[in-house]
Amino acid sequence: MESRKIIPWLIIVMVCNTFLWLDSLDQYLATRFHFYLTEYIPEKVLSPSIELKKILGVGDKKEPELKKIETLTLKQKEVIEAPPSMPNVISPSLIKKGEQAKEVANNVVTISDDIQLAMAKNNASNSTSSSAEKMKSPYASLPLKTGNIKVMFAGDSMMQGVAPIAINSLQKTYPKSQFVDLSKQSTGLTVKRYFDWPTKIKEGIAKENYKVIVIFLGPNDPWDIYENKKVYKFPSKEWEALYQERVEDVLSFAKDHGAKIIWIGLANMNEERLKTGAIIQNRVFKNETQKYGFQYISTEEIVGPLDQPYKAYIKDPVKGDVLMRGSDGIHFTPTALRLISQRVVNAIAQLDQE
Amino acid sequence: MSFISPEFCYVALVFFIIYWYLKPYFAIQKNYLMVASYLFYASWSIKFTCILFVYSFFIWFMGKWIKTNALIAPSQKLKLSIAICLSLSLLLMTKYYEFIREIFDDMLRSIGVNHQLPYLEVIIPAGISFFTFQAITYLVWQNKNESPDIKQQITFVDVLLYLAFWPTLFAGPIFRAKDFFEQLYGPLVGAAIQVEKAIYFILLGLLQKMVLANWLSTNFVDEVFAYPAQQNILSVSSGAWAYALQIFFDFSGYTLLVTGLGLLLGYQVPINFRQPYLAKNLQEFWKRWHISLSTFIRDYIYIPLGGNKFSFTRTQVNIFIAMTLSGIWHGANLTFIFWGVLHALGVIFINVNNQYVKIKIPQGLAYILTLVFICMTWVFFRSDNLDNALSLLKQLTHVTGNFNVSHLLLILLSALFFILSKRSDMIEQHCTLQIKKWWGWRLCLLITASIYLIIYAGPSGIPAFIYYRF
Repeated sequence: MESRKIIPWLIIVMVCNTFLWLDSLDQYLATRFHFYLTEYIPEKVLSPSIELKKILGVGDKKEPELKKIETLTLKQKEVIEAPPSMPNVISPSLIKKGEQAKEVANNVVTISDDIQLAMAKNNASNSTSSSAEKMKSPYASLPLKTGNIKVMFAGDSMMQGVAPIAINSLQKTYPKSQFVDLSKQSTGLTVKRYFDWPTKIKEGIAKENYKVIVIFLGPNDPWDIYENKKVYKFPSKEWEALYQERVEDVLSFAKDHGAKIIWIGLANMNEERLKTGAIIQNRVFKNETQKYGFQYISTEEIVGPLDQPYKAYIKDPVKGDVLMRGSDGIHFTPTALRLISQRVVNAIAQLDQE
Repeated sequence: MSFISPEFCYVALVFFIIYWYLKPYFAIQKNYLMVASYLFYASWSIKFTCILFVYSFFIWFMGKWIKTNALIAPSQKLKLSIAICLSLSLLLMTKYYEFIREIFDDMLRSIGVNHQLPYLEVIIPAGISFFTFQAITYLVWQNKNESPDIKQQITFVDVLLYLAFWPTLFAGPIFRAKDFFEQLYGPLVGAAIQVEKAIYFILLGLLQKMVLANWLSTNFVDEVFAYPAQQNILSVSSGAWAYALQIFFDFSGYTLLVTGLGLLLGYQVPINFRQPYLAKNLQEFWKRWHISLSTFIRDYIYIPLGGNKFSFTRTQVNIFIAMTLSGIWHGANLTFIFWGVLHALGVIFINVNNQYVKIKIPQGLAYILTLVFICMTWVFFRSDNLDNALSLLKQLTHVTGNFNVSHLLLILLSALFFILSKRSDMIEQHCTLQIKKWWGWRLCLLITASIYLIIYAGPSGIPAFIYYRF
């Protein structure tokens, strides 16, 4: 068959499918490229695709499902719990605030073998129940061990790396609580039109009764924000104010409904735009969580501060140069993910009322 | 830019229209394809593109050097060995150096030596494993007395095009130099060939990747491998089998897609799959799975090591080396090495049985054992680390779990998969014939509806191909 004969049919197929999926295409372009078709074409052109989606019931199917990580049966617990001979390698003092501050001051993250082992085996339960831990945390307010507390992990692809490791650990310590990973890649707080984290989190708190929300997002956000036909240029004071409003929206709602937020700050980024964004975003995350009395986990302390040049490696006193970042300059290696997850586990342990 | 992204579809439409119109102007069309390949690669990373350009220049230069016959030049064999070692160095430095460094440092620490290898802040260019192997086939081919007419015509631009050829750049199939250049200078290049087959492959590829692979990963695989300690016999076995199907649909879907796109360009991309899960033993599996890699390993590692020319023991050692390297090729992780070693041991076990023990296993049982073994090895392949893989396999002792509708659907899909796999050639013939018959509005409607339904049943966003990371 002559190649040129294919061309008209190819064009027809493309045009037809574009028209039938125009609404989804707009969503895709907005999320991925921060490009809004509706800025250039009338919204009613999208109507047929929206109507067709409604008829076929596409809408909700594209949203992430609430996946309950089932609690363990007694038999399973017996198998996965560390044997009694296992050394209690996380020193209880490690998660004491004083030690953390010292660690931060030294700006060195120790990831020697025993601590890595501790992370893998998650002896958080041992550490939190020790006498040193009996000192009540200022955040403690939830019966995580005894009650059926629901914990949501919200965020983008970075959370997709952190959540499984943290949940695997937490599940062993708090078998009666539920840990649900709702993270979804390419999401953030900038593009709300198709994936709206503030609404999702608020619904989770109000309808699903989540008591703890762990949030880790941000690298998809350093872009202009379009709201009410106004453009908020990134980076600008107006952009930061609007972003702060969105963060505050989540935090105030959580506060009003008795839920706790643990916000994980952004790490240093290789790309200049993302780095600029991370500096602004961390400022917002930190200030707002402090204002509302929630916990803020700084990843800068783990993988290097934002006021210094980006480095994929960090110096460990025992292991030497350790690779912490993926080749994209955004994501983390398993080593870094374990360290961040451990901070999350510690932060959640601080909420335990026991 | 992924092959299954909207932006690719629009760019490809414009690209193909221009490409086909350039058919009468071979040189322009060839340059156009080369530039398009580089631009496509640059859409992922400009740094990668620069690396690929420099690497291609180096390979072209090495190809020239191999062919020179200066008196003081070393022997052909030595020249080829040097060229291959150098061409592999980029792959080793970017993909494996950090892994080797960590192991080496741990070893030194364990013997009390506090010395560390320097670290390199390198990026791993996308598709490096594939274009490196293609480069090796080019160098070896240059060293052989084959197709001298074609070799004379090969220019630097041709080598640039060969290593950056966009359909196979990111995840293969490994397009051997001889096959590529014979087609480049063959009569069919530049115009779409076997269009009906191309349409069938593209639609089937999209269905496999967008719908089936995604459904399996969402419903069975991701959670099982993310939370190994919380699983039971039902979830682990369904997860492992679902992953076996997922990786097949993912990679086969990708291969079908690029084969279809290749045909539209006028190139026949090598075959990569022949219904691997119908294999009755491991040897047969490797003749059906990722064929372009397994034949590469056979021709460029196993045979140069001596193949089966020497003793039985030496043959098994060669098999072990070749299959372990095949595992390492997938990535710098112990899970991949273990996967390769397990396959090697499996093949050696069968060889030992055939040579000495000679136990005849009924065909049906052999088929089931092969499938179970393959699924078990996929657990290591998919897991983030060896601990997770072993933890998952340990959960097989937890005889619990609730059978639900999803499991029933998985069984139905599996049954359908085996029935259709056995008749795949017949189905392909029938479908391509129908496409030919229905050419026109009827086909246009059918394709539009098929694509609509595939997008409808697919995930939100653009799912990544598993083999892109290798």
